[in-house]
Amino acid sequence: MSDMLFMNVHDLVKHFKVANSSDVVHAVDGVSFSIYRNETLAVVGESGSGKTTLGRLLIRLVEPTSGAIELDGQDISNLSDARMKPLRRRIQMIFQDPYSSLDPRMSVEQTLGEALAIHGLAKHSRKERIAELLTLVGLDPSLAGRFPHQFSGGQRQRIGIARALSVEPEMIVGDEPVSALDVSVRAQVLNLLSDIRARLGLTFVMITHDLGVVRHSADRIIVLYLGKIVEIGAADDVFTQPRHPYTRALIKATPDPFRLRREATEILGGEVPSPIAPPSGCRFHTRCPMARDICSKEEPALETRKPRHLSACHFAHEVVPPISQEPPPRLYQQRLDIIRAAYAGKDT
Amino acid sequence: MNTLTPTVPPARFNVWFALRRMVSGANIYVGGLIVGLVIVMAVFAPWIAPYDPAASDWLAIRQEPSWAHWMGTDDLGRDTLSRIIFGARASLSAGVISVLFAMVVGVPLGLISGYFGGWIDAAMARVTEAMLTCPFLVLAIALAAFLGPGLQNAMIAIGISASPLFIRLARGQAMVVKQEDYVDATRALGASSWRIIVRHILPNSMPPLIVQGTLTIATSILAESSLAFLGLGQLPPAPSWGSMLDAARQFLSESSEMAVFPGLAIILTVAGFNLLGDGLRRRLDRR
Repeated sequence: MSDMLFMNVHDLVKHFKVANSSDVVHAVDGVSFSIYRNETLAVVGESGSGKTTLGRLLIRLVEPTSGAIELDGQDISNLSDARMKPLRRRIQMIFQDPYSSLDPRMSVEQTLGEALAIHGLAKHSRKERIAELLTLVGLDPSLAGRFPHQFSGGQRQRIGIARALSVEPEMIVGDEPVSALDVSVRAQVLNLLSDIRARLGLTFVMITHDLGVVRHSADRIIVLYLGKIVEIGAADDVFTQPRHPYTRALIKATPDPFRLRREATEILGGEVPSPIAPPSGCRFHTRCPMARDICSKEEPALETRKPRHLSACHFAHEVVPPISQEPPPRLYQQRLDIIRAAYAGKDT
Repeated sequence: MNTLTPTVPPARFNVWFALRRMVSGANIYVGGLIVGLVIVMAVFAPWIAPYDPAASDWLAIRQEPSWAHWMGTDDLGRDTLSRIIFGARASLSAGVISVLFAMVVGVPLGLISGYFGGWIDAAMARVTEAMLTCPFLVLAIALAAFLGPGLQNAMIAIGISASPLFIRLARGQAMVVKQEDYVDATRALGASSWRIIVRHILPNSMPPLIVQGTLTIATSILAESSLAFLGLGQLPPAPSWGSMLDAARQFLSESSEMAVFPGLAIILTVAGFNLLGDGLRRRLDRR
């Protein structure tokens, strides 16, 4: 798999200066990882963990304070705008808020046409290309002349996806692409994304706070806490055997029908500490149920726990798996069958 | 029996409320009507005006309004109505052209300042602040005195004095609009800053700028009248409402109608643009 390396992020740091003070927000604080071709990499964490900043760093919407971002071996972290332009085509983004991500004064055709015009694509067949893109995201091409306010949130997000796809990128960064949508529309858009990803062979970085969203679609997962990676590994490994108490807490916090009757949900206490003055030692020690003396003094390194599964915890081996391995209870299974039978035939 | 009867207040027709709503909605139409009339007056002046505005009739000096001269005549025997009709040209062009000048100068500077930020913005902010410390009219008078009398110079003076308003407003708009995700999306596509400013920031900053522009036309008309009153605007014998007021000043006690009609023209036109601007604000600022 390593021969399919697409992007390599090395010790990436982004500090924001706070206006009118000497304070610095440690949004992303020394993050290193790789992105492989055709994989879906999920970046999860609470709000304030730096995941959105990380996503924006990857597509160079935010200039890094230090560190390197290598695309095919070339460091793109301090390229000029002119040299960056051809590379921008290769990495695109889908934004969280479909109400802010489309220019209200541009029709769909103009929005997509602009993307094509910037890179001089489909010069003579722009209309056809726009129709093709709209069809690809499941919209009727005859809607091309309409303006964003004439569409629903889900449709707008589809337009945003079409814009990202218009320049034929190799990688797409999705910054919470479904969290602003109605639950009923979420699944549709997620399915569309995974369908397109598979069809076009895209590399996908999915930034989300919702583990439920990535559970079945991600190949690998990065867990961020206060600007640092606390755990990184294959999705299955991270879910079934997390090696960091924070990951475990996140998994425990996701609603899970299997668990309903069995145990109380464990919820993390407290707030995320301020990224202006992150805690000493392990940044999670203020909220960690397993914290001991060493945790506030020494920062744990990101260490390999098993092949391709790393975590940063002094007591990684003590983390109890959050999900029991037994099959779901009989009663649950029976109820599920009843629901399925009721919906059979009704194509929803 | 202890039943609960729902108490619904009887539907009452609130006259004041209804009137207020009607009036507030009518702003834009009343303003538009007045402004439209002034424009028609200015454009078709030669056909509407009963007399040549510059022709003196020595037998009809400082006459009171009559069927021959609806608004009377001035101290040189010129027909006041005709002069007001032709004067609309000076006032209107002074108002519109100086505001266009101010917008052409101010809006690009403001958008650049707001979009790029940093030292460009800091430098621009100092300059506009310095200009805004001086009252609008005082600055316009000083500039007009420096440039010399004449309608064209008056328009330039007013335009320069009004430009900081547009720099500030455009800057603020650019700072708001550049936060929108669609700007980031366009940047991620590889668009140049130039393209982003022209295609996205400018169109989305326009509504408040249009409102401000309309309101500033009113201020500029007033400023041009003031300059003309001081002899810094439209040069005689071409008529201007401000210079007509200036001429009437000497005869206020004997022939007050000489001052009343140009004064009314200024008030009505300024009010018209203010109503129009206000109405536009209500329309455009609703998101």
